[in-house]
Amino acid sequence: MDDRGYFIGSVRRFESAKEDWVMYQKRLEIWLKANKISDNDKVDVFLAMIGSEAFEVVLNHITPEDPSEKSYQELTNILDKYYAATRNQIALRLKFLSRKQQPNETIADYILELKKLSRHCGGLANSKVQAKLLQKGDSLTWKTAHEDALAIETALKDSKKLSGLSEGSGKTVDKSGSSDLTRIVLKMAEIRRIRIKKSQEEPTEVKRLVIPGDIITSDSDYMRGHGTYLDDNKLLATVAGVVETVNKLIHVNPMKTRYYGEVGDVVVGRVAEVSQNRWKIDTNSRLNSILMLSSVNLPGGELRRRSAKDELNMREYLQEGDLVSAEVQSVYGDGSLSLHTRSLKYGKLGQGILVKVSPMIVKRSKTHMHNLECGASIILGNNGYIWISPILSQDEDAHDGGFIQNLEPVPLEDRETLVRLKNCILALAAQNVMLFDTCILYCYESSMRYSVSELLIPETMEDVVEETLQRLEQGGT
Amino acid sequence: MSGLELLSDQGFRLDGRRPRELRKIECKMGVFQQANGSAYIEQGNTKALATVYGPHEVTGNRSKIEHDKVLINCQYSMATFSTGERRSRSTGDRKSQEMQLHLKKTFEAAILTQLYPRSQIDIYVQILQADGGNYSACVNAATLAIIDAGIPMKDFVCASTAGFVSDTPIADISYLEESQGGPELVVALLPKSDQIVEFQVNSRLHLDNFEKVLDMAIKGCKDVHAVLTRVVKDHVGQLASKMSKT
Repeated sequence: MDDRGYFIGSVRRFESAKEDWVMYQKRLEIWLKANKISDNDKVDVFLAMIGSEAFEVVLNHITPEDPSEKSYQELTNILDKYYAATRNQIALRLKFLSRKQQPNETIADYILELKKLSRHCGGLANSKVQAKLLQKGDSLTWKTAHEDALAIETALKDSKKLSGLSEGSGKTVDKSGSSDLTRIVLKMAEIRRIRIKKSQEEPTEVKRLVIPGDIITSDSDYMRGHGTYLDDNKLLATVAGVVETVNKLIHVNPMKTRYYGEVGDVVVGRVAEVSQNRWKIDTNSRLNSILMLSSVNLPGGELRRRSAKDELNMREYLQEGDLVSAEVQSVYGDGSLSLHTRSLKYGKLGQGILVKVSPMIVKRSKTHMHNLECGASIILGNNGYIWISPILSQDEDAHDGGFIQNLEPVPLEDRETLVRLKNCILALAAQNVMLFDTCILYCYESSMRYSVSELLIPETMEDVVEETLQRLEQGGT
Repeated sequence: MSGLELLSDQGFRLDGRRPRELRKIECKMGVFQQANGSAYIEQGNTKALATVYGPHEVTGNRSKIEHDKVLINCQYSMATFSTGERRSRSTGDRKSQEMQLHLKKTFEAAILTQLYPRSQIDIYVQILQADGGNYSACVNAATLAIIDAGIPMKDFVCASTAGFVSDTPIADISYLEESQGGPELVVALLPKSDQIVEFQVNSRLHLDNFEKVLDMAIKGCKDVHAVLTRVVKDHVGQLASKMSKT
C-alpha cells in the first residue's frame, strides 16, 4: 500500500454460491495490483480479504501449520484445486442438457441462458456423446469443450433465424414447439461438431503419399510389393500413390491404374477376338483375358464335352464386340486372366449401357450385381466396367443359357432411369467417390431434382455428389 | 552470327531472363478422361500435350511383341498451328520419326519395362505451340502422363536444354536463341540418381566449355524436377483426399 491512505475500488469476501473462484481470484489479483500491495503484505491481505468461507478451506488443508506462513502461490493453489473439484463439469453438463425453455421465456433469453451454462461444459448434443464424456471424465481438454461450444453457438445462430421466422408469421412459440426447436438446435450442433472433429482428424491419419523416386525405407527387413523398386538396398517408390504396409510387405497403390485381376472378381468385358476354342476378352487389364469354350455354359444349359462342331459355332454364341459378364477363374503366369461364365448369373449381356470408370473406385464387396429399387439392374465390374440394364425377370434367362438377347424396345421411362443412373455414376466417378450400391442409389435419389441432361453440368454433378456424401456420412454414423 | 544480341551487356537475355533462369513452367495432370494418363505442360511459350494408353495388348503387328518386356510406342506430332508458319504436317516425316525414337529410348530407360511382358504402352505427344525446347517439353509432359497412368518408373525423367552465348552458358533456350545457330545441348536426366538417359549436342561446342554447359543443362533438369514434383504431389494429395472421404 502506498501513502494515499485509501484503497481504490473494493472486493467483497468470496461466496462460492454467487461467484466462480477463478473469477474472484482474478478480481482480487487486479485489486491487489491496483492498490500496489507489496509481496510481503500480499499473503496477509489475501487471507483477510477472502472471507471466512475460503479461509476455512485453507485452514482445513494446511493445519497444523499457520496460513500466514505460506506463500501466496501455495494458498491460491489450494483454493484453485478445491473449487475446481467442486465445480464438477459433468454436473454442469447435465444441468445444461436438462435446461428446458420455460413457458414465459423468450428464445433469446433461453439462448443466453444456454450459452451461460455451456460456458463450463460445452454442448453435448445427445446421450451417446454424453455417456462417452462421462467416461472421459475431467480429462476432457478445454479445446474439445470449446469445439463443442463453438458448434452449439453456430447452431444457435441458425435457430435464431428460425425463431425470427415463426415470430414473423405471428405464431407464438409454445412449449412443445420450442422443445422441438431445442431438439433441432442440438441436432444441428451435433452434426457440426462431428464435422469439425472430422476436419481436424483428417491430417492426423497416417497416409503416406509418395511419388516415383521417393525413398520409402532404407531398412532391408521389408519385402517389396507392387509399385516399389529396390536400388542400392533402398526401397524406392515407382508410382505416385499411397504406401500400404501389410506386416513386412510394402506396396504402393497408385491413384489410377489399369485393372489387376484377382480370382473371384466379377468383370464385364467385350469380346475382342475369337480364336481356337477360346475368346479373347478386353477387360481393361494389361493383357486380354481368356474365356475358354470349355468354361462357358452352352445354350440350353447342356452339360457335355465341347466338340469340334461347337468350336465352329463359337461365333454364334459370342462374336467380336459382344459384351459379357464373367468371373475370374485364375490368373496365368504372364498376368493375363482366365474367365468363366459357369453360372446363370454370368453370360452375354443384352440391352443396356456400359460405363467405364477407374477400377480403383469400385468398392470390393460380396455381391457386384444388384437390382436397384429404382428399376434397373447394375453390374459393378471389378475392372471398372459398369453395366446398367433394365431389370430382367429371373426365369427369362434361365433356359436359354444367357445367349439369346432380348431385343424388345425398352420403354422410355426405363431408358431415362438407365441414363440417369449412368450420369450419376459418371458424376461420382468424376469426384473419385468409391462406388457401391447404396452410394449409387443415394446419388440417384438426390439427382431427382434435376433433369437427366442437367446432370452433365459440372456444378450440378458436384452438388449431387456432395449431397450423396452427406447422406452416406449420416447413414454411417 | 546475325546481329541479334542474345545476351545484353547487363546480362539479360532477349526475353528478359538471366542466363541460368528457366522459362515459367505450368502443368496439369489428368486432362483427359478417356486416356489412362494425360498431362499438359507449358514451358514459356512451348506447349505440349501428352496422353498415355496402356499397358494393353499389343495392337497391330504381332511380331512386335517382346516376350521379356513391354513395347513402348511413341508418337510425336506438331499441330498445324504450332509454328509461325501454318502448315499441315505429316506424322511420318524424318524429323518426327527421329523424335519418336529419342522419346522411346528415353522412356525405355526409365519405365520398369520388365514388369509387363507381351504388352504395349502408347505415349502420344503433341506440340501445340513450338518455341524451342520441344523435346524437353515432350519428355516432361510424357513423364507426368505416365505417372498419372500409374505406370511404374524408376524416377521422373526431366529434360532441359542449354546453349552457349558469348562465353556464357544459358539455360532453357527459346526458339529465337535456338535458331541463331549456336550450340545446343539437350539432356534428359533421372534427377534422383543423376543418370543421363538422353543426350544430344547440336552444332559445335569447344570441349573446354562443354563441362560448363552440361552443368547448366543438368541444373535446368533439376529445377524442372522440383516443379514437377510439386505438381505431382498436389495432384496425388487431391485425389487421395477425395478418396478418403468415402
